[in-house]
Formats: sequence, C-alpha cells, structure tokens
Amino acid sequence: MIRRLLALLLLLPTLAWATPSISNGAIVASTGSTNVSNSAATFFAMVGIAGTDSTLTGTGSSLVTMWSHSATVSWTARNMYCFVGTNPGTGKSYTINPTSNAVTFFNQTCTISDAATSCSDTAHTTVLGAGSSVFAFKTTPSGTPTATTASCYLEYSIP
Amino acid sequence: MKRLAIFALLLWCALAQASETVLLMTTTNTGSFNVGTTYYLPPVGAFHATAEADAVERLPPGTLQYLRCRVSAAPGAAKQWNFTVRVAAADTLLACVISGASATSCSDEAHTATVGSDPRVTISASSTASSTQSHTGACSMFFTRS
Repeated sequence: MIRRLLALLLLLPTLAWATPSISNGAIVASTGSTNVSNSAATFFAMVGIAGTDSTLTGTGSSLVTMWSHSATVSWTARNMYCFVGTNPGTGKSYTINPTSNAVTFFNQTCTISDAATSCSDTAHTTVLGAGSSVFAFKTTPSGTPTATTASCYLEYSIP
Repeated sequence: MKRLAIFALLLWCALAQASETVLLMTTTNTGSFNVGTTYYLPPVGAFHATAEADAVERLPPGTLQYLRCRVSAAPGAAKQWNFTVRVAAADTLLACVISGASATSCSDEAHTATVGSDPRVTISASSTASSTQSHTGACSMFFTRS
C-alpha cells in the first residue's frame, strides 16, 4: 500500500503534464496615477492602465472600447488581489470587485479597510461563458476614505 | 508510514495548487520611444509614460523572471536600449540591453525580481541619446505568485 502511494506521488507530476492543457494567465489592471472616487462607485478597465469612469460602460468616455473583451471559450477567474496606493483611513474602506454587463457575475470581492493597502479573495471562483462582454473592476467607498489609486490582479484559466 | 505517505501526497497537492506562474505582457501605446528619454511600461497592457506613477501596477507577493524585450528598430552601432524591471520604485537585477546595429531583442534568464510588501511594478526603458528611434517596444516576463 505504502509503495503504491509513493509510486503515485512520484507519478503525479507526469500526470499533471499529461492533463489536457490548461492555459493560465493573469489580468492586471491599474488606474495608474488617477484616483478612484472616494464618494461614489468607480470603474476601471480590467486590463492594463486606464482612467476611471462612474459607469461600467464608460458612457461619455473613450474608455468604453478598452473595457470590451470577447472570449471565444469559457474561462474561470480566481485568486483576486487588489491594492490601493494610500490606505483608506480608520473606519473607512474600499470594497473592490470585478463586474460585467454579462448575465454572469463575479463571485470575488474584497475590502481594503483602515490602515491596510491590500485585500484578496482566494476563496471564490467564477466561471464565465464565451461571448463579448464589458468587464471592469469596481471600487465602492465607505465613509469617505482617502482618495487613492487602485490596482487589481486576477488569475484566470481556460480549460 | 502509511499516514506519512498520505500526508506527503496531500501536501504535494496543496503546494501544486498554491503556486501560479503566469505570463505578463506589455507594449507601448501609440507614439514612439524617443531617444534620450526614460519611459515606464506597466507589467501588463498597452501603455507607456515618462512618469513612473502613471504606469504603476501592483502585484501580489511573488517572483518575476525570464524578461524578454523587443524594439522595432535596432539601436545602431555602439548604441543601446536598456530595459529594467522596477519593484517598489527601485531597479532590480532583472534587466536586459538591446545593443548594436542589428539586434532588436534581448532577454534575461539569469536574474529574478521579488515582489514584496511594496507591490509597485514597472519596466523602465531608456536609450543612449543617439540611438535610433524605436517606434514600438514590448516586453514579457513570467510571474510566480508566492
């Protein structure tokens, strides 16, 4: 029995290699040097550096095209880490979550509170279907926190 | 002994899930790399700026490695383009240089850069003043989350 288990242990890397390919990547997004609002919800593009907007679709903003992403296959999002440049301050916070105009919603969310400058959600995954959708990260302030920049990292896999 | 083997098996599975390596890719936005100017690119996206704060993205704790960069035009004889990964607004050893009349790419597979408590990451791009102007620049690197 022990020998079998040890043999399986040694075989696992080989099995992992033989598993049908899973492409892993990470979405990294930032507001750059632009602050998110500390009094209302703010959206920023899910990839790269872009400004912010008060609506998901960027109405009235040239950012709208940067928020549209078309996936030809379903994908799974997981392991979200978000950051702010300056902590919110005592008793204040920013809640951050990915969002989309698609039917599917994201399960990830985390809150940066008080003196912290980061938060994470590694407990939840979200499976998103194929198709074209508008994606963004959304920040929601509570208690008029210190104005700050925001950045998020979200891993994904494509089975 | 059997319990030990099962524990080792479970530990292997847990460790296999704990670490993720992803490819980060960045390229310049519209507009050229002007010689003699230092530019900053984020780890991911199509963007470059002369102010580092404009290009900052933040990553969770982990390790950056295997930097590869490319420009659209060779710098010219005895001239160069320098690419350096910066963490926490400081240069790291993860860097490469494109130099000479024909090379348009470089790589660094020898060094790593660690992302720690200050998670700001950018890539700086600079040239000697007389280098041939590059219309585009792009870099990629691997990131392994701790």
